[in-house]
Amino acid sequence: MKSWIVLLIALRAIRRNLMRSLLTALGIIIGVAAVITMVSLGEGARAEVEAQVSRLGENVILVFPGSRSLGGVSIGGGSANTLTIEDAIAIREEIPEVIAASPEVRSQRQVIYGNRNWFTRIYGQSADYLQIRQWPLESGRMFDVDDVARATQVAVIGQTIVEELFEGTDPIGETIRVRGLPLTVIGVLDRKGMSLMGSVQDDIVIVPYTTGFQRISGRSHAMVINVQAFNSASMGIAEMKIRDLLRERHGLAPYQEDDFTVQTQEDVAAAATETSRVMTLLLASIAGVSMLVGGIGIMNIMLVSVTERTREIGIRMAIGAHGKHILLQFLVEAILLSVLGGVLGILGGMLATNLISEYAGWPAVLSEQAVILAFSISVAVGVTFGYFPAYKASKLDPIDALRHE
Amino acid sequence: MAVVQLEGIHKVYGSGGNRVHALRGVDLKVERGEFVAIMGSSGSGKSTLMNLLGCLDRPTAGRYLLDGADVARMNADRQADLRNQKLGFVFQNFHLLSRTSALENVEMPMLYHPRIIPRKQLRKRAERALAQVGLAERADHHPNQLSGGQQQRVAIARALVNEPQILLADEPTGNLDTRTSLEIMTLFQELNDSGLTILIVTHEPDICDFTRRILTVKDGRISADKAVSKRMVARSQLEHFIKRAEAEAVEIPEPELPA
Repeated sequence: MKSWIVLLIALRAIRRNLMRSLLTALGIIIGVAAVITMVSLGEGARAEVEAQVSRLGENVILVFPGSRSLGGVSIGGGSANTLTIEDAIAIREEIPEVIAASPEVRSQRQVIYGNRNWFTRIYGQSADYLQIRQWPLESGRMFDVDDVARATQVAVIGQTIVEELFEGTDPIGETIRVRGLPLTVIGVLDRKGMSLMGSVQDDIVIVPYTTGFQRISGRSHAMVINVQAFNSASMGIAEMKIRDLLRERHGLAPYQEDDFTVQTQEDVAAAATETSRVMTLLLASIAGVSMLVGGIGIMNIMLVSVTERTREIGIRMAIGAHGKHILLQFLVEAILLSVLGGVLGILGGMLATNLISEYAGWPAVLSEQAVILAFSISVAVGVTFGYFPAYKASKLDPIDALRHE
Repeated sequence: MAVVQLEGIHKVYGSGGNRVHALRGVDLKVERGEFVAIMGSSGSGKSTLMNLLGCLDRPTAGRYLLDGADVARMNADRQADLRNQKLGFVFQNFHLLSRTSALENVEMPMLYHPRIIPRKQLRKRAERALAQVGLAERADHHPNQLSGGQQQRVAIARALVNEPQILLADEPTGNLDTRTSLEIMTLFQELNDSGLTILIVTHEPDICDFTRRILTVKDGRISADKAVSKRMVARSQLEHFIKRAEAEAVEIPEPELPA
């Protein structure tokens, strides 16, 4: 028997039960569409994370304070006051691979301009912070080393602040107030977008760290030290030297653990991509379960179909069909159904991906691998779940099958 | 040479205490071109005999030579090929595939033919078979759009399409009215006149009169085997029937409405 005849027989059988066939394929359609949509969204998220990591800056090393224990109970990393401004200066001055270092202090404060106010984050940073973050200015200038030394009352603001307080008018030279402290706006930052943690990075006011520590936050220790290495090759050495320097400066004995944490941009990137990868995997496996359910649906319908079409099988055998022909017919029917489901599912998945990225604004990257994978799985599902009913059909006795009502 | 030759055929169903001895030594020879009626009450073993003749079942003992080949020793696939090429089946319940056009129903046996038949020829031969049974213009109709007689004729076309040696019909007129039965028997007689060997199972004595030979099966044995002395011609019976029906047709008066 030639393959086109097998196809012809199976196609005629599907056409005879078109509605039921479509409903059977629905499980696969939904499964494939779900897999493709989920993976596309996951890929989109991953691409977005990668973009954000690169926006973090260039060759960045972050130094966090260590965890603090109260009576043996840790109260969380970064909670200790172990990093000083002097540590930052020392890193900058004493390590040749380091070209910039900025001790960071953050505080949540209300910013007032005229009769408008906005609750935002105030960052105290050094003059080279924008260089570390690779963050260009839209207008004005960044404060310089001199401003930091004199703790001048100047601020560089993000786009969100411009929108919320200045409604588009030029903010350069204007004065904003934080807790009664007047700050002159000297620069406006370019738009940066979302951070890795999902916060709006443009919602920011940057002041010299001296001003930030003394006049705004009242803290004496850095929350983070942002460090920039000379190039990516020197990152490893810089990381090691920072660790040695800080251990020495903090007077740690060899048996004592670090009271700080050093993280490179790669570490952050790896953690972030790992998160999104796990997320994609999770979504894809949920979608995979629905493919399995779809496959069982096909098996169910094919089994019902074999019972319901027992007489048809009897007729076919009576006029000369071999058991093998019956097996092939039902198997090809199952495969055709799942391939049909696969194709419709791919179209549905593409449509859903487009709609979601269009209306929800989520980034989505249609993954060719996911399309190929989903399609192969749907064929495999057809073979796997179609075989048992088909085998059952092929083993029917023609006399019994003909008598079946 | 006989086209069908049965020698000492036994068929036993079940085992142990539930054994049913359906056939107890059947010997039978059917020559090419015969038209045989197999009669018998229900339980006589005639259906078992028919299944054996149709290669749908195997005898427990005995030899069955179909066209000289020993069928009992063949495997299931070889038997299926025999059903496909040498035998044509007509059933009481027509057994057509529903939601499938008459043409596709007739094409079906050709799809299982070991020799590949090109698609165009598939259609041409199916159309020819339908024309042979007088249904050329109904090729695209589905079984539920056809009358019982027409459905049976589609089934006959299906049985004929692979040009079998023998046509086996199991109660072919059992579900049909007198006039349609006569039409089917007319068709059978025409096919037989053109040389086709036909075996039909029936319990209607009227139907037997259209054949040439009547076998009576009783308790698993052939109890009688006689030639039909006065063979009736179905076509003239049919014409007679139609004429009488027309004569008897009376006009139904309008019912009187109650005042």
